[in-house]
Amino acid sequence: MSGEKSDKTSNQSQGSLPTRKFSAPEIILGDGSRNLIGQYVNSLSGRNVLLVTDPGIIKAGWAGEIEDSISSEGIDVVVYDKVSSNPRSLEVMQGAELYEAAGCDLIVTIGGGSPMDCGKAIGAVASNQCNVLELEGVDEVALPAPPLICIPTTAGSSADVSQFAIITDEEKKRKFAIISKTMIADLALIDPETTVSMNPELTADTGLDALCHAFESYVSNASSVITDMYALEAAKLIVEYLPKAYDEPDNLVFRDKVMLGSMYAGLAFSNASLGLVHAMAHSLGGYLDSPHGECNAQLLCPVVRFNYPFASEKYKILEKAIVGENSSRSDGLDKLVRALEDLNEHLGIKPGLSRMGVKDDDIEHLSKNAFLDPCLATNPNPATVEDIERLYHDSL
Amino acid sequence: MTRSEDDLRKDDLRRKIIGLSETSHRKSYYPQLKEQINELSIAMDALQESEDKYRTLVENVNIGIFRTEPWEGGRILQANPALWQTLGFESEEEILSHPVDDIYLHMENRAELMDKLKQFGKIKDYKMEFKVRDGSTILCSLTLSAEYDSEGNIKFVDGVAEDITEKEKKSEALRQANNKLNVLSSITRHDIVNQVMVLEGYLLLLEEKVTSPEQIELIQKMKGSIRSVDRHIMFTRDYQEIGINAPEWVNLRDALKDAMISLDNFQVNIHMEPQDYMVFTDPMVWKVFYNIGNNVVKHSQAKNLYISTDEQDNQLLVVFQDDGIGIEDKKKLFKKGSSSSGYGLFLSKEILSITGIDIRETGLPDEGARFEIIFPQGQYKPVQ
Ligand SMILES: [Fe+2]
Repeated sequence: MSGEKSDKTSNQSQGSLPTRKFSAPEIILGDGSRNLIGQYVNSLSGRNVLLVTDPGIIKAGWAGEIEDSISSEGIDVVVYDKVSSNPRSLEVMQGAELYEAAGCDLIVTIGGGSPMDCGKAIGAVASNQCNVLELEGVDEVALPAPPLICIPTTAGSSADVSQFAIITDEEKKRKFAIISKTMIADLALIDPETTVSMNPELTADTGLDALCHAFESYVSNASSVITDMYALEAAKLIVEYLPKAYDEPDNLVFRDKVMLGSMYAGLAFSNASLGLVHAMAHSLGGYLDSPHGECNAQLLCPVVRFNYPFASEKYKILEKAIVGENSSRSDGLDKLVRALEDLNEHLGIKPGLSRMGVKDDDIEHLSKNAFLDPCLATNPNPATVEDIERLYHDSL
Repeated sequence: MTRSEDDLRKDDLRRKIIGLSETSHRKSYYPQLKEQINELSIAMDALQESEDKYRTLVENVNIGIFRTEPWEGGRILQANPALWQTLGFESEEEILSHPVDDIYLHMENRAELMDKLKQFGKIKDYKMEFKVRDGSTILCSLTLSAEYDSEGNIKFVDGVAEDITEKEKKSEALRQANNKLNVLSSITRHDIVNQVMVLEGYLLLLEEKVTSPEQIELIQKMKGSIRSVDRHIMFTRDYQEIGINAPEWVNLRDALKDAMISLDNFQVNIHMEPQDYMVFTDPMVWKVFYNIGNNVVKHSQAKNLYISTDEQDNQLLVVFQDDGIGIEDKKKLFKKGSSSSGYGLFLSKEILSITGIDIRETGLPDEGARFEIIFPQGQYKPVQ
């Protein structure tokens, strides 16, 4: 600790409880909980709802069901579904325009991370009357957004419980983060039944995103005893039940467990933030529009190797939680990585970023953006641009 | 040990993520909302205050103010005390339970009025009779305006009714007094003119019988006196008509033409060169033009009279220029009974002054007479 008097926010102080806070939305969890939407829109005094979703969710029927529930309470609903899988700033601005033009007073999002992040940003733009690009950064949203209810239909992003919204700056081909308490929903209606409609590929991608949330928040240098508890439990649940849910998509018990794991991971990363995996994945997603979960899945193992010496204790605990007690003799790192690789293999993730269209020439640009991502600030190993370039390279 | 800028940036970012000094708020403790509620309640107070002010005004004003439904059998929705008191009701509630058609003396008048309102959207100072509950009637000056719904149908009729019963009685009395006076003076004048003619006849008979030059001279003087009496009587006839009729928009060219045609004129060429205007004046204005024309014909020895208009400096000049001997003594020109023109120009000035129009003579001695009538702004407009 250099010249500073004391660093109250550091968690390197031994034997004492570092001062940390923990923010979370009101959460309603359970099968069928989505049916409470009308009641809660009412109790938040919504009279004219902007329902943010995407074409896939409309096709699956979830958006229509929610729209009907809200309408049956005599409340007006305007649907906004122009949301890409990596939501763009222009989509946010158009949504905010619709929100204002239609005179909405509450936002409901149903879908995966994309509609949720888009809906959160729409709210912030609507109350702050600015361009969404101006909201980039940590604690940069001056005015709270209108009331927001999130209903996740994937078990992964957990944007419904987090204070993050990740938006693509399509002009600069990068993703940027809005990290603010105002991005926390007023209510997360978490209903695992909605995740049954995910195909195996999406189940794997989103589940591995959740696992990365658990890993990265657990070893984050901003973690706390509260986030550690959630992160560890999340890792356990996901590693055990994600392959089962993948194998038996219709088994609601497995879906429940994966959803629970995802929510725990969300609560953990929302408060402890993430690390290098997400910094690099955001850069990839912004540049190549690649699916977020798959990027994470490709990058988790190399980053665990890279970070291991800086957080070995925590990785050992993770390893114990995932693999079990009986193998304390062997090399922890290899064992842990092997377990993760096995998981990827089970879930049909074939290694290699090049298969996702990443080329050698892209790496310089990708690394620069990843280096500037706020997630890097909490990575246990302070990576340089060169480190990041090497990691991309090795993952090709 | 020095730390790089990147390290410092990352440290700062990490501190912010941990967020113990964050500045943003959850909705549940949203101070801006509280501020907005405060502002709103201040605005509501101001609104209440202004509403109270207008309510007091509406309640205390001496003119009936009301809102009704437009259709037949519609109700009165709002009425101020002046209205229900004038119509003999005990309270606002009482008048509100009364069909609006029923307060009109003739129900069909209301239907006509609503048709007009549909057409024009507004009706101003319309005289209408209403029933008072004690059986009497009152005359009101009614102004109505239509309020529309989003589809353009009349939703309400807002109205103002001023009780002009007394005012109307007074002006009627005044009109009658004026009439009586006119009748009296024209009968008297008629009698005098008859007697003057009789007198002239006797003088003619006498003239034939008298031979003494002295007596003849006396008779001539008597004849002069009689002509003077005749002129005075004629003046009272002309003057009586001034100001009886309200001023109105008169077509300038037509009035000039009428006046010039009435002239007994065999010597002067009249050149009519005015632009087309309407002028707001006493309908007797043609008499002014006639007087000026008559003056030229009788006294100027002119060969030509040019009548033209000249619009300048926000006023309109109507110019009568002749090429006669001109007028030397301008001082007494418009005085009563001053010059050879008798009462004509005095009368002209009087007629014009009723509506604030001026007349002057600006001719140079060698260049003939030049009369200019000056219409101020607002009292003339081009013919549409
Ligand atoms: Fe993620």
